Amino acid sequence: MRLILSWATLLVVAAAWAQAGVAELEAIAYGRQRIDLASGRTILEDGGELIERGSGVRLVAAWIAYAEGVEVTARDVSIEGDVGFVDAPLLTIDLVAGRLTASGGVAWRREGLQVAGETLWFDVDAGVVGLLGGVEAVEPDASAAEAWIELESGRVLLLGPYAYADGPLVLRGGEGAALQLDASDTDAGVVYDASTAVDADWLAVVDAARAAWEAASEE
Amino acid sequence: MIRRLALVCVAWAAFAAGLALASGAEPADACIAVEGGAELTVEGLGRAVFAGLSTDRVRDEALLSGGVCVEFSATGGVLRSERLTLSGLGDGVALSAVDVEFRLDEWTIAADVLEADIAGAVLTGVRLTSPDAVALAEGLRVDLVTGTIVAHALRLVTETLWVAADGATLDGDRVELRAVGLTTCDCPPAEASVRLEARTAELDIVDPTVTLHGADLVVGSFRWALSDPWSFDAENLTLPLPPISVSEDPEGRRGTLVGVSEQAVAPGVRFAWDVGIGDGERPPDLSLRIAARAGDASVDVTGASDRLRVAWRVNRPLANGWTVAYAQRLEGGAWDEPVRDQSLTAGWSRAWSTPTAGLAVVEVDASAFTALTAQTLAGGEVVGTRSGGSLRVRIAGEVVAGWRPALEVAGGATGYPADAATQTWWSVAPRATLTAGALRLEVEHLSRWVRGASPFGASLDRLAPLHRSDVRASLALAGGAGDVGAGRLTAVARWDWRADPRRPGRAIGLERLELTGSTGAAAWGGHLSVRAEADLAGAIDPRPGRASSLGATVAWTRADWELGTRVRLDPTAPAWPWREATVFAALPIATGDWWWRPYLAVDVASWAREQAGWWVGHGLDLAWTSDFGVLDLGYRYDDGIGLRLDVGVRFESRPLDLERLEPVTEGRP
Repeated sequence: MRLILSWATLLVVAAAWAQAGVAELEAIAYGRQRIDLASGRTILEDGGELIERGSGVRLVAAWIAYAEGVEVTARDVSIEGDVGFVDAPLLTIDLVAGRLTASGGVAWRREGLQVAGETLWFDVDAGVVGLLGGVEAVEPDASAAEAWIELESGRVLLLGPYAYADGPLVLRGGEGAALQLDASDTDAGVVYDASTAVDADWLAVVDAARAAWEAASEE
Repeated sequence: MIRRLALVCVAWAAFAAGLALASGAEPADACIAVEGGAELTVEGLGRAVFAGLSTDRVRDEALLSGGVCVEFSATGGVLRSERLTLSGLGDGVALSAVDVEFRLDEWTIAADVLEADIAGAVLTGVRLTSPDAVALAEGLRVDLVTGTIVAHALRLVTETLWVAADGATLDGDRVELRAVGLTTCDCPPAEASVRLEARTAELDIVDPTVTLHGADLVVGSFRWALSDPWSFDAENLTLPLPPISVSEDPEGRRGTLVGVSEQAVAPGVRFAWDVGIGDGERPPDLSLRIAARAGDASVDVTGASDRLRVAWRVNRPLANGWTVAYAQRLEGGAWDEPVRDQSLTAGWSRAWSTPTAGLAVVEVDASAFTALTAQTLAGGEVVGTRSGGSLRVRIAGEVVAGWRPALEVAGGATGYPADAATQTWWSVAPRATLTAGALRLEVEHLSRWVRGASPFGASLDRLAPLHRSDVRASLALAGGAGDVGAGRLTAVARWDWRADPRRPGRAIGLERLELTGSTGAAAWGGHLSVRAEADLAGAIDPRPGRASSLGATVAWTRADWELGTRVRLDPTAPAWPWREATVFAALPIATGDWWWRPYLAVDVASWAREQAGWWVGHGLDLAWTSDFGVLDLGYRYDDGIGLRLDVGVRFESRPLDLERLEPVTEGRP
């Protein structure tokens, strides 16, 4: 459950970054700052910080390039805030298409959470986030080939091979297997129903998001 | 979600833990994950595979569906169902399913409904199958605390038994039954005119054996209580009849003995009797022997028209290997060398086993006795006391693999004060046994030296010197395809080193040289066996009183048919060499429920010479098939071979079929 909540929190932060105009960002250059007149991008060649004024979330990177209202690109990124710490070798925010990609091995840690994946993909319009490739959560102990989260409904889809472990218990699905988790609030708190039968509309959303990610990857 | 998933897993774990206690067998089957399905692993307990899993938070349930298979690593039990429901995930986990199959040990348990909680699993509408039995039960409970599996209103059939019980406990191949009725009839016990009813019973369905407690034999409206416990083999029942024995008198005095071997007739009391009917070397001479043994005492009475012998003995074991015995023997009438003897013997015996290879066993026996004896010999009656003692030491071991040497040294002395005589003796007996593959070779030598002589006869204690060597060799022949040519060759030889009183300057020499070979093969749809024997000592070293012979037996059997011939001849005989040329046959005749097989053996050689005694063998086997089994009665007599008697009951095997069992409506008849 903590894993899913953490993913959701990350998505809210990512959405805030993706939907924020650059004007809402405060940029701090650690060294040279160059403006590429041809592309209109501002490049912090020696690294720097971007701070989202609303949430106070701070992005620190060894190299940052951003174009107001167009995109943000950063290398060796660390994000720090209420959400905890996120590290990624490469971060790209397409402010026009409304898509965020963190790749090269994303690691996210906070109290009670330690998860990593090859790539994090967020489609703002679809409201869908995917963690793709070698999703591993040390705390809690879980893994999946891919994990997709729908922000509005809270539906989660794990694609196999996946595994959930809790103490001596391990639930595994092989390649091609899928597990849907549906969250709901109860008096006892948020509970989840698990099902290996995936909703057809949810599966269609994931298929579309996945196709979009594959198309973006080919670019 | 993980918490709820954990509860689902805990439910599995509880169920698996209970079943883990219920058995300790190897995996009966393996659960194979469905493609695209999920697998749940519980460390140290087992795993479950299924195609689909869904939880319902409103109903507080989890449903596993599509080829659900639970494999319990500790027990090997495997549970299968198309749908399994877990409920009470928050508190008091319960499991339910319909149309389940649970495999445990050799049992496959199919049930209409399964309901389980942490305390136990209850299955209703149970059908049990195994390679050796099938059964129906109204209900079955797996106690998840004690690990017992208890069935209610069980109706079970094996290949030979039909069993109905109010209750039963299954533990692997063993079934404990309560308030049980059983029969060998192919019908429910309640409908069987001959049946057994018991308070409890243990049934081993593999052996198969049954042990009853508090049992009655019911025949129609009659009822007999059986001993408690009472056991029987469910394939062949040994009838509670006195076992008849036919043998030759080991003392050589009474010829052929027909009687009942020692049987328990009361707690601590055993009883035997036999009748001597003489033999071909002496005229018919009926004698009766009755023997009884109770505790440390025994009595033996033998009587005939002209003689009587009474012998009794009290043997009292003491501590540390000591034994003291008092015996009295009174013989009167026309016995050879009749004896009146009273003896008191103290003996001591002990065996040591040493851990040293090559000297594995050391045995020591010592005894001392004194006796007052009177014996009638040809020269008159000898009366006097006898006192003496003996000591025997035997060392045996396996020096190297397959070679076991042994050495026995013994000696003793007996004094006869009334005759101022003493008899002393001592002996050495080395022996070696060599086993190498199919070959087994035994070599033994015995030398006994005697000084002085007993005034009493050889039947009592007079000893003669002995110096002889024996060799026994046997070779097992491995057969080819179909065991053709499989058989055994044996050779036995004895050389007596003593001087031959009838041939001055020469030893007695070769006393015995016997060669035997046997083999067999499939032939003409049956089995052909050949056995050849040769006694060559008389041919190699002819002497009066020592014959030689060559013999062979060829027999062909097919199902219940038996045909054969047996020939024996003396190659050294000056004229007619044939001692025997017997043809024998046993042919079955089936008429309804009755089956007969007469046997006849005729010595053609004697017949051709119009000699008496050509009818050398006869017999009859009889089988009566009833609803409760096959009663076998039979005898066969062959000159030179002896008498064989058969009495028994066989239970015919029937196919294991659940349809033979009607739905359970009642237990004990």
